[in-house]
Amino acid sequence: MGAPIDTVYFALSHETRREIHLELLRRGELSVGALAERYPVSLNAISKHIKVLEKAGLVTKSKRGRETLCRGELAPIERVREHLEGYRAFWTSRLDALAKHLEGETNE
Amino acid sequence: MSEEAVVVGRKFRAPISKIWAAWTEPEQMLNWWEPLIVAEWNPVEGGTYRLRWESYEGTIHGTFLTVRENELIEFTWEPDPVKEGFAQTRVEVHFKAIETGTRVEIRHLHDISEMGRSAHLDGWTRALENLGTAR
Repeated sequence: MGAPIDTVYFALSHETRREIHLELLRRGELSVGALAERYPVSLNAISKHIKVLEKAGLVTKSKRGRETLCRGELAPIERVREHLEGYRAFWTSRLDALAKHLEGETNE
Repeated sequence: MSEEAVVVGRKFRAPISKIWAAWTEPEQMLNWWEPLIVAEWNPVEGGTYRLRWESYEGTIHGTFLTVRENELIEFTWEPDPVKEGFAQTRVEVHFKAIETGTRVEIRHLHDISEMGRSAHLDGWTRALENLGTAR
């Protein structure tokens, strides 16, 4: 099931976090330090962003020696897409119903 | 940057006044919104609505933000209780007279509250898709 979808939206509502996530997907794995070097913000700020991404399941961490490596994950993005598709199905069914309703009216 | 998350459109072979009436007269809404129960539908600016399901305890309610005859109905979309997903979103229903009748376009927008930037997601998701398969 993974993290609540709200946490995914929240994590992706910040531009730096979106960039970190994309960068991790491109590179595979990066240490927190290596990530911090890529952005003009403090190591502390990067760590906080990573924590938010991790909570949303967009990043997973693993230890290699003394380093903590971050990895970008795509599964939560799939869930966001499914969520949006739910709205699409709902509104499509409403338009179907409207078409039927109008047909009924003209037959009367 | 587009704020649109979901856009659904359809053409109807009926005059715009008829389509408008179907969306704005509560007794007509009752009819074609089945199986949803339209408990309240007051499409005037500042008016409210409430929808519920027979088999489900939650409701959707909201406030009409814009109501322009034969043109646009805009309302907030607030699930209660807040299920997984957005606490609040916004819906626009656009009406346009065309040669063969009327075109209706529904846009479900995700641009309210701290989720502000997430509408960006749709296009971004597609970019990620390619990235994902390349990995």
